[in-house]
Amino acid sequence: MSENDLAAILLTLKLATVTTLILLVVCLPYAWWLSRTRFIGKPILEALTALPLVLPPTVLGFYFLIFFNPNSVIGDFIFTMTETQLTFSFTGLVVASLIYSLPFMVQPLQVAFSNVSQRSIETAASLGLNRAFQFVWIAIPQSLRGVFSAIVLTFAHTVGEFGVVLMVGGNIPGETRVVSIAIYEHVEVIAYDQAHMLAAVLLVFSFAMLATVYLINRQLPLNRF
Amino acid sequence: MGLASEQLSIAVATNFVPVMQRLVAEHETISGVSARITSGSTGKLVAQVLLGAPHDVFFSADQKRVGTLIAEEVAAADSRFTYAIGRLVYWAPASDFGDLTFAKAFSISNPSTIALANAKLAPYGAAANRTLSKLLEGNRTPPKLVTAENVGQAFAIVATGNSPAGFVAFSSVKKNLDVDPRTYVVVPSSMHQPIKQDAIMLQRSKLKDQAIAFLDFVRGNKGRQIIERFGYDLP
Repeated sequence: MSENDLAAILLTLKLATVTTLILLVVCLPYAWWLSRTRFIGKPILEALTALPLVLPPTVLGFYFLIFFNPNSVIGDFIFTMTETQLTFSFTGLVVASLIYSLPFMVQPLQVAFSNVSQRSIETAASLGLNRAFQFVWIAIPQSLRGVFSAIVLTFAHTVGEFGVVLMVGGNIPGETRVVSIAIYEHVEVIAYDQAHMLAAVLLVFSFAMLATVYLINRQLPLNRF
Repeated sequence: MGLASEQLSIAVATNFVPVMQRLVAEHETISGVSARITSGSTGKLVAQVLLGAPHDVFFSADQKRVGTLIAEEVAAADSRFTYAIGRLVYWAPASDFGDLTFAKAFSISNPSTIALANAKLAPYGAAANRTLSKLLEGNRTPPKLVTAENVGQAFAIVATGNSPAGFVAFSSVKKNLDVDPRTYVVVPSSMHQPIKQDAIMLQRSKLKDQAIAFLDFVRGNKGRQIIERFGYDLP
């Protein structure tokens, strides 16, 4: 495997890891809140969260390019404040991936959290445990399957991104050239041997990730309360 | 400055990527300046440059889009030059054209479909279109056409057997060891307008000296030799 392709694999893993970690930290409390709240705007929030599932990547990519390119108001402001350009850069890919993979983190968590028994939460509350404590020591241990699925699905989905990355990242080696883009380029320039190699890596990897989810889900306890 | 920032960023039309890889490697051994290559269709690359993609030089598959970059004031007009002229070939993997001329080869070949690039998007497609209309000029029923997004995809359609024949880039078949030279004929350049490919330096480059040096290398004897070897004509 060429040095370039190896760099693409490492970059992909880096993107998926960063995206998954940020989403996990943000979405654990968000999904917990969503699963408990009676807030009247909840359906709107749920719809917004699920949007990336149904929108073609071109829509997200197009808006991203329009709003964040360095000539736009927002893009110019971000560049002035942080000296970071969000289009055609790794940072931009992370931002786009956070949006694109959001439902894959939130939905499994929300489903798991809504199965947490209300009785166990009330018991904890009556014993004087505060809300953060209830969440960390009562809710999460009952939702390990959901947490695990969310992590793996988010990671795998970010690895599998293509359309958004192509539009907002371009194809810059070491910066935005992830594996899916590298495969696309190999096919375009008729380097089928290299395309085969990377495609096989992705195929095996994705299968292994999904098989792990299903396997571990059998081992982890269901809610016991 | 660190090593990474000394690296040239080159945006190049897909059809020229294999040549560019060789040019970059050769240039690096001479000058010590390395480069990263970003490839895509000419139209896509131009759109990305206009939206702030961080490249130093741009190698287009045509002349028109280089003009667009100059008009938008993102490219340096005085650095523009034609680096290669693309040649079209008619390729039918199951046939044996031997030493036949293009016109003769085309007339004995009777494929069910012919693959070619989209004339609206790709210069090779426009050239193929022009060639076909010149050949047919009313006296033969036009063959069924399979239109690909670009000339690389036209090659893929023929290579995978999805069309028995097609108009593809000479550079795609010449360097491909799986393609028997007897199965294609070069289309005479009189059949279509020359497929001139222009290069230019971009204004936002922070490595203008290195960018100019690279363009000079491509234009020089060594660069021209490499380009010709890959199946392009020289200006």
